[in-house]
Amino acid sequence: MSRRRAEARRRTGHERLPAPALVLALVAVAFFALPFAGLLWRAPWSEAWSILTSVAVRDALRLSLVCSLSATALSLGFGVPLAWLLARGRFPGRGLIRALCTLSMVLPPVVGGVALFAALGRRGLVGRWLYEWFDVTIPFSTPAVVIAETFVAMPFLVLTVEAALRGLDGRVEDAARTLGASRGYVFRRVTLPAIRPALGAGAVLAWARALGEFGATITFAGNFPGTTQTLPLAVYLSLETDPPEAIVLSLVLIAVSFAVLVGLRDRWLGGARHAPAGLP
Amino acid sequence: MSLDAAVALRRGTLSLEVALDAEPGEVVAVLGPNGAGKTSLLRALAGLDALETGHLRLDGVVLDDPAAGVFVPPERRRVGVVFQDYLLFTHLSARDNVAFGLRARGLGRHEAARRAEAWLDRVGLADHAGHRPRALSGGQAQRVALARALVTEPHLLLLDEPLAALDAGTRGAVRRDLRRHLDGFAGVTVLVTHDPIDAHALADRVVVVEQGRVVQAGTLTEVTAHPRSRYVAELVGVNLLAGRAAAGTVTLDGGGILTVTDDAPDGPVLVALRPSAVAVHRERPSGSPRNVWAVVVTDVDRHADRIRLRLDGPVPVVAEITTAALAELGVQPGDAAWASVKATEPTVYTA
Repeated sequence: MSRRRAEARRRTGHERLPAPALVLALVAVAFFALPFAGLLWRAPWSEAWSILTSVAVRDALRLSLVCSLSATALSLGFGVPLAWLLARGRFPGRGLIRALCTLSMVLPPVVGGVALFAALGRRGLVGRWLYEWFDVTIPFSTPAVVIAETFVAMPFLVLTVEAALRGLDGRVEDAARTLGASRGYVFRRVTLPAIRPALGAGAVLAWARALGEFGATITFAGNFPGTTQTLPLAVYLSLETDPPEAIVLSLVLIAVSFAVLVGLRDRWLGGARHAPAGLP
Repeated sequence: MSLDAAVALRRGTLSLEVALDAEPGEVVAVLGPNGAGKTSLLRALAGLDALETGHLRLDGVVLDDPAAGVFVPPERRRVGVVFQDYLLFTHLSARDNVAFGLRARGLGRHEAARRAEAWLDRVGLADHAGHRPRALSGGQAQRVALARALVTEPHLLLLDEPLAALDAGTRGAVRRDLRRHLDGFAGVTVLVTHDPIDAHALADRVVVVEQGRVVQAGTLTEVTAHPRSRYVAELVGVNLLAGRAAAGTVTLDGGGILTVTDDAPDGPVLVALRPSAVAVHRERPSGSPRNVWAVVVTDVDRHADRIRLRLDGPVPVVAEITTAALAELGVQPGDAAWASVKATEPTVYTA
């Protein structure tokens, strides 16, 4: 390599990749880009507007948003205390509980759906009492969609927040307590602000996972338009009956997910890269 | 606002057992090397760690007494803490940092902000009320931490190495300011430091803690005049030798013999010897010095215009000579030489 090229490389700070690695990396990029290109290429652009404004699609979109946002809210409400327990609790079997609470991340979602059935179904472990005592049936209802989505999405939030809590300097919370702050006040005014980037990142991850949830939902909640048919389910159904509609709906999901990733990257995900707000 | 503490607890390999009393307005410095248990002591006083045995009373009120089953959590103690690296809340402005303790105790937003600003004004940071800690210098952050601790009007103020994080240039000014604020503070102050200059400038009394135990207590003058441990002797910069005295002669634990004055006490003694009182010679000196012994120079250390020679021999000591004297002597590490000390130089006191 000539001296000048080496000098230029040193100045820009860019390391030239070995050619074979570069080729493989470009193949990987193509692997991710091609399916989207295919969708765009096959999309029935002339019918797109009428498909998007049809009642069935509007229902599915609305249901998807309502359920995924509800699942995110539930994940925040229960997941933050769970993350706190896992990060700060001192009790035997903590590793086991963490594994249990994040199992649904690696489980095939269908299995999660079956398990939810066994627990909350009309003849399930808990579900039978709900039915007998309160006449409540959970499966195949909109709440079932929210439960299924929460089941698979919450671990993403729990793990993200737990990592942030672990990285926190506990002495800052000590300092707050010596200033007269109760544990609850310390959590609200010191701990939460410090883990806010992780909280945002975890919530976005959980929401994205809930929005795309398919397996657990269709198993536990079924596929009823208007009550349990979310966008991914609608895509699956229309693939057999109306392929152009499936493509348009897929594009909608892609657009939403992509917008979230790009739009929130700097605000939340990027923020999580830095140490939580100035703690050493 | 008096403090009466007998702290006993274990932290890892450290076993801490320290008794500490102080009168209102008094500043007590806890002096000791790293790992001596100074910070553990402060945490116990603040209520961040519980005592295993002992007791802790502030103004006669029991804050911690394991035997009686009493433990008052930190947020209900009237204790203010300035932590070593200040631990300011980075997401809050200087004003909100200072107001934090008032807000946590239920004071309204406006009143808390008003009092916080008054305190920032007192520590000379009125112009920085809106700044985040990141935008403050080390000295400014220290003053915000002090204001944050004092605004809640604690009865006990704990300072953990309050000047250690500052560079030498600002330390003097911050120390003077701190002195001024401590003078105006009616409660008890416990100051943890490893710097005798801080202890001298800020404290009325010194408690020296080593390996979790009090090795010496008293005024700084008393402590430095009669050091009872190698740590204190090194802090003060004197040689400390232990031995047995009888009729003006000290037989050192290491085997050497020192002739001292006749009025020295008999029995187990400590001998403090200033490095500048140790003369170093190339040839065996003749004449008046009562103590002459052969040494090997093991180390030559420069401190500004003074030279410190570490001398190995029957009486291992550090000698301090001038640069000119070193040039004249021409010794290097490994060289043999002679050391001499007048009988009137060593300070001898009962161990």
